[in-house]
Amino acid sequence: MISTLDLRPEVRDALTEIFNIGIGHAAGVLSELVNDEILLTVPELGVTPRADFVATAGALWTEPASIVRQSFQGPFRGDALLIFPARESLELVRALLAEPSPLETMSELEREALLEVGNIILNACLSCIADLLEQEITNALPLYLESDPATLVKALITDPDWYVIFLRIDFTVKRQNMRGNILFVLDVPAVTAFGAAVEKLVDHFESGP
Amino acid sequence: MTPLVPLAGTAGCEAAACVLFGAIDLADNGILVLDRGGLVVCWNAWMVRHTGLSAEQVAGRALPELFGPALSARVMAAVRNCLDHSRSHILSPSLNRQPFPLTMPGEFAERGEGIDQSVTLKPVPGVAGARFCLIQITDVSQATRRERFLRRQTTELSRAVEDLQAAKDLATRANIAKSEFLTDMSHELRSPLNAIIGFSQLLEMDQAGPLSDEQHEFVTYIHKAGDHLLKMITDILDLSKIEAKRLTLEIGEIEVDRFIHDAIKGVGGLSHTRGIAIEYAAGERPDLSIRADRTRLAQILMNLLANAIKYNRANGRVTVGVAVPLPGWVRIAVADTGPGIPLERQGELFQSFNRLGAEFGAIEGAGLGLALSRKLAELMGGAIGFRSRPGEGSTFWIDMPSAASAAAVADEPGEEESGTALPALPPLTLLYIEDNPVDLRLVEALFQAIATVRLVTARNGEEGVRLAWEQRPDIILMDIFLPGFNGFEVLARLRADPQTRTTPVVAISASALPADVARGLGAGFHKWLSKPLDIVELLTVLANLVKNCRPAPAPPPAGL
Repeated sequence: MISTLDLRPEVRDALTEIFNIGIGHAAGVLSELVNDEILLTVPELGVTPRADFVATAGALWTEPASIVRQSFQGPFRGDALLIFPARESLELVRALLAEPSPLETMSELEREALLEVGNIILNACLSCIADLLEQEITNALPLYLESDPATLVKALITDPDWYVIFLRIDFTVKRQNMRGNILFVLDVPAVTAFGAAVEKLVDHFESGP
Repeated sequence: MTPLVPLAGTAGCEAAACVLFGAIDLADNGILVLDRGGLVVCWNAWMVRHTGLSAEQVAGRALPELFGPALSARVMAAVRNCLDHSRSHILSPSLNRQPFPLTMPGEFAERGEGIDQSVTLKPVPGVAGARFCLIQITDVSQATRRERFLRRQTTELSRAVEDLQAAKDLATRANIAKSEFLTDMSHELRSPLNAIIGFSQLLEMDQAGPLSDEQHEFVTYIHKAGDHLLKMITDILDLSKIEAKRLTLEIGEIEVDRFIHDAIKGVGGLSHTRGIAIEYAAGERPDLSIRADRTRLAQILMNLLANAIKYNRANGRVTVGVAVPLPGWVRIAVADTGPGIPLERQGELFQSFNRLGAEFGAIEGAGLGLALSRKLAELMGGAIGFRSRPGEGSTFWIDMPSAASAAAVADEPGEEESGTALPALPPLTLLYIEDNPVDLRLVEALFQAIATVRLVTARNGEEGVRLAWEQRPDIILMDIFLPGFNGFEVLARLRADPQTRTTPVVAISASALPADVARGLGAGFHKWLSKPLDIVELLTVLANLVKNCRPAPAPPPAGL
């Protein structure tokens, strides 16, 4: 059981690269879907214990957000969240749709489109984690929420031993840049497995090619 | 599949499965299940209805085999991801409009629009490592149609708003252009009216030799028509100024009793001609005073009085009264003994150019008076009202806010000398600078008959200044729009020279705009008279200037 994940720079880079490959696959699916080039990158990644994360979460999001949530189960339990500031999520979905709505708020169908986009991205990331842990993870159907992310995360993680994998993602569609976050909330067995997988990565680096 | 729990009232798993399948069949969604190999193992009644394929037809077959190329590639990608990696998927209608080629039951596939769908795929673990893909299809055609309709409506609405805004801008510009046109026209119309009214006044005064009775009558018609035309031009100009929000008011305290008294005097000529008596108990309420613009309020009251006289019966009566309808308000009411206004036409009363049955009659007017009066009263914070009963006459009233204190009312000094008798003039030299030959001729004709006045004339500003220095006139009359130096420049030159510095200068201009008048008086003109010239007014102004500016040593000689 690891208590902290003070990642070495090269391990952090390797993890970031793994997620970038997965999310690049999601970008390909989305590009095909909307018949336009979509770029997705993960420029930043962090792994934080629950207490540290909750302490800093308040400063991370200052406005209400659109959230796509996918719970997962299998050998591990947890939640995957895709978070966009509400305003940016509206811009994002309008940039993706052929017939954007002229209304000021997101329509029912636009919300569902955002849900699909979130589903594609989160599925790609979950597959990365599953591959890393060499385990099969089954996820539930995505849900759409409009909420304050910090409050939601606090409510989701009650166990102090849980960890949060935090990714920043940059989204480029039709020359518009949008920025969001992905969070994976991992239970104890998941964190343990994740720690083991990371150690394997470290070994890989130390033994060298 | 999840092991089935025996249900109450069923015998074991098999019966329970029947109940569950019955429930799946009942669902108002498409439900189908694929096995690990992607072959159909469950196909509910909704799917049968919307594909025309029975459960027997589809059992054990793969989706591409059933639907061919019409099946979206994304469905198969999601199916594979679901079966191979246990991923749940959602396929939203905006990004994938019709993943499955489905039609409404009874619709011909080639004619129908198809069904817009929201599709979800969920991995379901079975026993002994088996895995299934559960697909649910929801018909969202109504929602997409609703949203498309809403989008169209919103787009049309915003386009309509843009069009309206453009039309409004256009109308505003047109209205400003109209106001400017009216202002220009009013100026242009005043010049010919000066000749019509001026010369007819001279003829009425027998200045060019005595007229026959018939000639006199004709000249009177010309004069009256000219006055009437002038009044209409002034009213139209006022209305356009109110509409363009360019009318400025000078609100002050007005002593009601004296004000009414003056207004009644103003319509004295008309009431006398028509044989209508005006009754007003003067001095009844000496304590009341109101806040209003004196000139504009007089315009309203004179208009009400003139209407009451014009729309009266022969030998009728007009009664003016003052009352306090509410604390803080004063009402001036004008009642006539005319035919009254039919109920069905009372609503049109305050519309511009509405003359309520007088359109073809002998009563003159353009139907602007009441419309203008109401607008003026409202601008001053007051109101106009009326009560009319056919056969009994009408009462119109003005309600104005009362002034805080009735005491200390500094009434305007009386309009100096006034009246219908022509004022006498002492011997004096007049210089008139005017380029319009007709206007010049009018003033020349006027002073030909006044032996005490020596008239010198100049055709332009330069000549005017020269004559002013050479002839040392007592008073200078001057047009403003002169060739060469304009009136203001001439005035400045006169004021710069010690010899002419104090000579009174009177402007005679076709411009009657308050801004021009104020500018003229500010520049140092003693008086600003507007064309068409009122001859009596001109003579009165001259008489007052002589009296005030030059203590006349000589006794006034016999007048006209």
